[in-house]
Amino acid sequence: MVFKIMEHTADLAVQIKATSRPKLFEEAAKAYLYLIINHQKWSSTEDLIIQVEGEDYEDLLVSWLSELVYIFESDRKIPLNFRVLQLSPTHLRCQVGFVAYNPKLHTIHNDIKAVTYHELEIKKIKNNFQTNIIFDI
Amino acid sequence: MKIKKISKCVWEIPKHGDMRVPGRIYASEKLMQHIKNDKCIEQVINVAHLPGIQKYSLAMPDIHWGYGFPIGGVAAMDLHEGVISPGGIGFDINCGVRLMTTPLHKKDVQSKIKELVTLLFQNIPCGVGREQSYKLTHKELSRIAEEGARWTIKQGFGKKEDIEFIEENGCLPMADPSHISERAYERGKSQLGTLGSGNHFLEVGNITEIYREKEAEVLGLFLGQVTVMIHSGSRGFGHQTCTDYLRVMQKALHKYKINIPDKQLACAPLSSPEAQAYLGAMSASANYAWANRQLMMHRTREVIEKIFSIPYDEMHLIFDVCHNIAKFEEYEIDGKLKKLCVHRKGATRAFAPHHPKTPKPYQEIGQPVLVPGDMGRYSFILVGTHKAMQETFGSSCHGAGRELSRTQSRKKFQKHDLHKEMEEQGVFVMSQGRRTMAEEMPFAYKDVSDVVNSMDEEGITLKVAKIKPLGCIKG
Repeated sequence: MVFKIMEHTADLAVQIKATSRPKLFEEAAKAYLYLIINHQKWSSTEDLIIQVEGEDYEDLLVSWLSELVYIFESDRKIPLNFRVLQLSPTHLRCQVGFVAYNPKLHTIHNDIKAVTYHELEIKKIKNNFQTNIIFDI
Repeated sequence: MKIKKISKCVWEIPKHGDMRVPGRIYASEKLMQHIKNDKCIEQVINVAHLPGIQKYSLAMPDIHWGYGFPIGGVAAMDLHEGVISPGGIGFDINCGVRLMTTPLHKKDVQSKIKELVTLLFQNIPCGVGREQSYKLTHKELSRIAEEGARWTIKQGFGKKEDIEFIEENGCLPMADPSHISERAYERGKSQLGTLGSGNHFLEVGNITEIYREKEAEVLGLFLGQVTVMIHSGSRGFGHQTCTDYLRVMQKALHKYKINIPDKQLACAPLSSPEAQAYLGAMSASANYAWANRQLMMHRTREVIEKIFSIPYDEMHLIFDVCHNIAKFEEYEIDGKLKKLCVHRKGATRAFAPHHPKTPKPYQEIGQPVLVPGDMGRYSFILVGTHKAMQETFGSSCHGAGRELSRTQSRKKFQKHDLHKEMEEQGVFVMSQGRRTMAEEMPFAYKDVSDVVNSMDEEGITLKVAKIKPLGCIKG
């Protein structure tokens, strides 16, 4: 786990670190997964290519995570593994492995409803990329 | 940064840097000690940077760290120079509270509280992933977005007179469903009449104290009276709408060359097409929330009617207030009456007696303001005053405000038998998950009496009655 949960009074905040921007996007998605569901090794049954657009990397990160929030809430698919195929400041293409949500197996830990821009800034610190993300719950 | 004390419960953050107006926080000395250590002060300052903001960036006593605006933030914008910010309204558009009274006395209910709470829990879906078995069509959702609580009542889920006791009569006419995305429709289609999770609840309580006899009499309150309070919002429909328009507003920042200190405050000039589209979508989401609370109140009335054999018509809606909303309202600025766009995020409208939007039966006492506390202690019924109109853009507090973060709360109550502890406090609680229960335990919240007393002390809203919980359902 290369993210840590930060203190936030009413919502959920995480700090993500990664060695590259694509990894940062993958780690952010893993953090989302960790927050929503019980922590066991699930196997994906369906691979999808997800593409999102943004104004810049920060906006793209919000779009990316918002896409996962939407898919989970509307299609009840849990995003399990992530492989960034293409990343530019305005476009992300990612392969995502999903499994269908099954209330008998999966326990939802946090009802994440949205992703915020508050305190969101992707910083390059030495050879690492780092950002904070606050989720609305 | 120096914070000046203006009066017993009012503090001012002087204008500095690029702030367009000073900040003002309504809070007692005790609450202020806590507030000073929270990041919310920085957020009050950030809001003061928004174009067109009038008089002050305001914070109510239950202020705490949110995103963009603080929770408990109020800001009024000039219609020509000002902006609208979806982050100033929040994701759960028209999250709000309604209070219904019954003719029952506590002694009629106590022996059947478990049966009552169990039946409510079975009839009102609550918690993560709990949705209705039926799915609304696009056409039905579109009508709900246009008509709000009126749609629910037209379906036979309520009384005609309920409408008079809902803020804006349960419908914002600016609603334009064409500005709602397909994704919001998708998220909203099976969530109407559902409570949700987090701090949303349905609580059965009883009146334990009356502070103002005249006001209580007008509201039809008596000691021991059983009440029902419902706290919920626009569910996924509103969340998706806010998500959609935050992205629109990010682009608008570049287009209109607006500089703000936090991207979550992204906004657009009120006259712009982006702002107009958001207002149409926000109003549609607010209407969804009213339809949602109306449906849950109907189900509650049916359950109470069934268990206690009392007529449906004898259960009265006292009032329904929004917490997260933007409204066009008139206030006196520099001696002239001016129409403004008032953002309330985690704050309640608190209109004075004789205001045209205060319901007719309440014209002599002012609009009821409902302030829920935590699930163990108490909640309050207040009324709005003329001072609120002069000082706080007709606004007051909306709840207790969190003392502990969700993580701290879970750690603290990890080994506790939460349901048993609540029962020992005289409250029978049913919840979908232990996790929510641990996050929502009473001492995770500030004492709401400190919050309402700060507003009462300043004469912004006046205390009428106290409600103690008997039973509760949670997500």
